[in-house]
Amino acid sequence: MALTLPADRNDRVQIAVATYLVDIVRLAYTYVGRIADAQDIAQEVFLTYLEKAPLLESEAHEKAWLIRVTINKCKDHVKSSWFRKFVPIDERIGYRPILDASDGLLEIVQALDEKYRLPIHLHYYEGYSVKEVAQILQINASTIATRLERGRNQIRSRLEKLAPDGQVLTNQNTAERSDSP
Amino acid sequence: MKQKDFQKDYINAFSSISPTDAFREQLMIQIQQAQSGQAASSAGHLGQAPVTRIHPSRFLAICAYGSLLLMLVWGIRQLIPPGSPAMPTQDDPIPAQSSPVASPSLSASGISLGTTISSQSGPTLPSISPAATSFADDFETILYSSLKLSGSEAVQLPPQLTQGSLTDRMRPGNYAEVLKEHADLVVKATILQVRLKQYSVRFHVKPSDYKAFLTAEENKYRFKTIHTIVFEARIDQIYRDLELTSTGLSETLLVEQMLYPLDSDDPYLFPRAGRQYVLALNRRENMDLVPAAEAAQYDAIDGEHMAEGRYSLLFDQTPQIERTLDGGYLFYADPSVYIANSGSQKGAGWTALIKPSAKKIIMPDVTNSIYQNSMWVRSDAEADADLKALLR
Repeated sequence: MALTLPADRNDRVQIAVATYLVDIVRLAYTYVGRIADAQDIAQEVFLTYLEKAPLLESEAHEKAWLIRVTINKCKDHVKSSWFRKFVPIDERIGYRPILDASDGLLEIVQALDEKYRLPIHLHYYEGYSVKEVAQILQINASTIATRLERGRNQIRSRLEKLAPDGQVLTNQNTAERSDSP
Repeated sequence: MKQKDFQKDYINAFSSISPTDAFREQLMIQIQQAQSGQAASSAGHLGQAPVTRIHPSRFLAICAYGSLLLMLVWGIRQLIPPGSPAMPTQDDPIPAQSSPVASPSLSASGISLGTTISSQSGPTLPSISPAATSFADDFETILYSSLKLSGSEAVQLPPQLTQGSLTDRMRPGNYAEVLKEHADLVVKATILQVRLKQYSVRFHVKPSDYKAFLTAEENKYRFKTIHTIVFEARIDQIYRDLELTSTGLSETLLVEQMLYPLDSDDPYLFPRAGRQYVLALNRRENMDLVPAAEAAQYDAIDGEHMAEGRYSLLFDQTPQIERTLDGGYLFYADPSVYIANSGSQKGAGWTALIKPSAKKIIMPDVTNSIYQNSMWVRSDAEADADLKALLR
């Protein structure tokens, strides 16, 4: 069912849900690696937004605030004993449609250490600059630049392992390879 | 793999990760319920039975803090001697004026359901008293069109300056107080000319600020157009001159002011050519139109960005005190605005000039301006003296 915007445009929480829900779920997914958990975290984030009603200057500040809260909620979630005792069931089993060809990259990113995953997601998916990522994660900008570089190198080397003939695996040629006998 | 390709692949990879429609729908419903007063937190996670998960270590910490708090309260009670006024016992009568902000009132027959409000206890809120809200109703009103003003057109702003107005954020508070602290020069002056000016600057972006969604070439520069308004003003009277320079009567000043987005009707009340105004000014040698904090974010700046005028308005983007042809003073004042940390004078603008002789201006032509209901005129004999006292 398509999401409809509320009639009252001033209702900023509902507008924020409509605008940022997908991004928040995807960010949480990079951290926790399970879509059900990512949705739970997104739910908590928006309810926190409703409860705290922070005074924010602009939409950019609003998004940065939501991202910051999401990261905090993800950390809490991963630290919880419930999460550590939980034995994950592969989400592909009857839950989601079969993942597409680009999952090669997705899985490689998921396998990266958290310290690389978040900067890469914020930089390449959200489009934040190195300095902005540094502000959101409250880490030195040069550290972020280093982590981006190392994260990219790790992804590159793992993609090259997936394509041993030296051909770098991209979305297009992954699809081609899966079609070939 | 190029960075651009990597970014494209990365975004594509996440296209399969999306919240389900059922989740979106239920989240929206839950938020609407929470907004309408229903307890959202009790609903638990979507699609699950209501469950409250508390981490065991957090539960233990809560218990420990609770116990400590109880011990602390018990200890304090032991330290205070019985009969102390700070800690009344159950037998003590309730003092008549020490009731909390809202507490059950006691009567001879027991506790009644009514509440008592004490005006002497608890923090006072920065609210406007009922007297202040009906304040404007006590004054005579006058139509703007009936004021004696020399005819000249208001300055026409480019469309980009009337979108996303920042006027409301720019109000600098109580003008009389701000002026005492910050004005270098206060003059009565006739505006000879008003013109708009544009500066185009190019910033060299630092590589660390490069956005991933732009190419290196696109990232290299950012462009900005700075809009200013320039007044040529001839000095008719000097109220205050902290500079002690050669500024004298009949001298012409060039006043230049950066323009931020405004409400579309604001320029109606701004200085016009041929009219006389009281201008509170700041003097700056080589006034840079790019703020230092903004300039520091870039490696370099190309293009002219030093202001032509050496003076700027202390109260920019607001109506200045205007002299009418019959000797009156038109001014902005809004007593309903609360200014934090203000001294004796509250309200925004020239509130100290509001005396019983002041008349409130009605402006049917001004519909989109925060000043539309806050303009006043004084034409009485004391107006000049009151103004001088404020401007010194």
